[in-house]
Amino acid sequence: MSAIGSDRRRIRLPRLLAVFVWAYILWNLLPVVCAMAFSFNATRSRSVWQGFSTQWWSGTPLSLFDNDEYASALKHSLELAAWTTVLATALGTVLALAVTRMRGVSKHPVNFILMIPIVTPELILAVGLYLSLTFITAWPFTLVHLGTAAQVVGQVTYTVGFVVVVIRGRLGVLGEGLEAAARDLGAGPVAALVFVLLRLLMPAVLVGAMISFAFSIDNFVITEYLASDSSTVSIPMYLYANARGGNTTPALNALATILVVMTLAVVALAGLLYRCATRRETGSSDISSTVALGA
Amino acid sequence: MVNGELVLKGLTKTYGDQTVVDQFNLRVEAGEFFSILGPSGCGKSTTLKMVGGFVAPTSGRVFIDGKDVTDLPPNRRSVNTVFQNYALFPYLTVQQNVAFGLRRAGVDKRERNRRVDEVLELVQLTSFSQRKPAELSGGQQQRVALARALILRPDVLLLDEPLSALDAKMRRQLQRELKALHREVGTTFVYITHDQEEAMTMSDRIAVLQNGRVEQVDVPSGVYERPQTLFVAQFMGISNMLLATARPAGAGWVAHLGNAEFAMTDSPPAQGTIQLSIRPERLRIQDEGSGGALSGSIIDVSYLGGAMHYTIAVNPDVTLHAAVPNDGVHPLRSIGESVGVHLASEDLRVVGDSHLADVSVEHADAIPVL
Repeated sequence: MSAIGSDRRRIRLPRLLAVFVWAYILWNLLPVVCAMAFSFNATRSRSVWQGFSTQWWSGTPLSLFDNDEYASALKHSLELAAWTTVLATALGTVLALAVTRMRGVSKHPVNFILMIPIVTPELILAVGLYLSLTFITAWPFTLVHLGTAAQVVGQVTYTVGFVVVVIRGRLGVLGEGLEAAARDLGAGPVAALVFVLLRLLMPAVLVGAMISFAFSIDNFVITEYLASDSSTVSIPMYLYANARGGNTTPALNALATILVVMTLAVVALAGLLYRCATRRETGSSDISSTVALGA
Repeated sequence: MVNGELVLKGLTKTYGDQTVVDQFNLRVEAGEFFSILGPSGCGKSTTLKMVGGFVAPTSGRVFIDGKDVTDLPPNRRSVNTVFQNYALFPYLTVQQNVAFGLRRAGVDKRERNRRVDEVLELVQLTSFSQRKPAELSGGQQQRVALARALILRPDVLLLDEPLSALDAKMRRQLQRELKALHREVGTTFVYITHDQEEAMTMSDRIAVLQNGRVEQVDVPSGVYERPQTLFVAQFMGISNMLLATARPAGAGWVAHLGNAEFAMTDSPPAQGTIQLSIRPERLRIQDEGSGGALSGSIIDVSYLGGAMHYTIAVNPDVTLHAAVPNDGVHPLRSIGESVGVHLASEDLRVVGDSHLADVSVEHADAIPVL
């Protein structure tokens, strides 16, 4: 009897926890889903549902796809994200490899310094970069002008630390054994790095790229500070500037929808690729990834 | 000419003020199955890494077939390694893992496939060639690692505790397979292990290491039956260690053990206090009161299947270990029984060299005095 009683108690607690999880998910999703839904509203209202239409997406001069400002913001956001993703991922990979190979006393301070962008408030970093790029007239600061270049530099500076953390974690798990094996089998240092180590790092590189992209797409503070003119307005900047103005329409919701869908798509894609890349590494992760993909 | 002679000259590795390998001198003959044996932390793995080119020695040189390879990177030595955790590439199939070295060497595809098939057949993995390492058992992974190293036809094959991750039964099977494989390919095998039984089973010769120093290099029977140091005597199975007094007598000398005297012939004459070792299986256990024996009583009995293991208290300070075959001829004895213990002088070994007096004082606590 007592055994049954204790079993029941064990079942009840997870159920309660599951309720919390679902409540949290709903709380997260509802505003986003509502905002997305109103992009299909039949009228200008962004709070009262008055029927379905796609007019805010395309077809009228006020539609998202027929408006130059929207289109420009979208194009600029994608441009920033592309640069940031490529540069932060490449730089982060190289930094992680370099730091892992460092020996001796310099290792610890370098580790710490690499974390600084992560723990610094974004605003401080943005202001600091803005001042440096505006007032310091020495090389290399003069190379970067406010606008796209400065925005990319700012986003990369902030993101690269996260990429380093992810890739170093993977390097730690991998150890030095497989690289040593490649060297033992006749691969030179470069071949061992390219054919073995980078191949094994691929999943972490993908996650790093995903983080960079997701960060870039919805970054506001750094991007706003380092912008120059209307051609360097990104989606988040455009949303912020217009969200509370009088001339807002559900086309803004459509734009936000695009932002959400893009971020989700990239995260999902990276997750899938990560699973594929690590699938055959061990028996257990093979099983768990199959289950996860099926679910 | 057979390739694969490995020579170490004064090989030394220090990390900070810690000496991991200390003045290792060694000559491994071409085609030999040579084991480096020692407890964990004795420097055997570091030695292997220096031979493989993964760790640069602090001083000393490594020669393969007379050529100094000390400064060559791993990929330019004709040495391949079977790593302890196999280090198989998880994203490549068995076939691709084995072909990795030949690809890097630029061997054309036809020749590559031929040699991969050949070596996979050698290790009996032909039907597994399209599997990924994660889909193989530990023993199969071990064989892939072996095939991947052997396919490059190295002059010296290094094996870093390759069987330590496997269960006992699989280990014995692979020990036999490795020995057969060694006979078949004829390459020099340098085998690292901490398992003295494994080293004795497989090797032509064994180097016993402790604290980075070589204690003894000898054939298995030499290491077991004629241990030169206290460490070797105690590391290689069980040894009874006894302190004795040596006096010259006639052409040879006599060892005094309590009231008993043993005329010694084999070892060089010694004088003063010496250490003698005798293996448990060389003690003769007889009924109490048989002439010329030490007497004692059995304080512990272990049943090992093929043998009985008795612990016998000869006096309050001295216990001896005796192993008696469970062959139906020797009577089984029980705890508390009083027995006579016979030692034959030809089974007693002097441990260490002639300055034993120092050593025995150092270890005096550990060695019983009759």
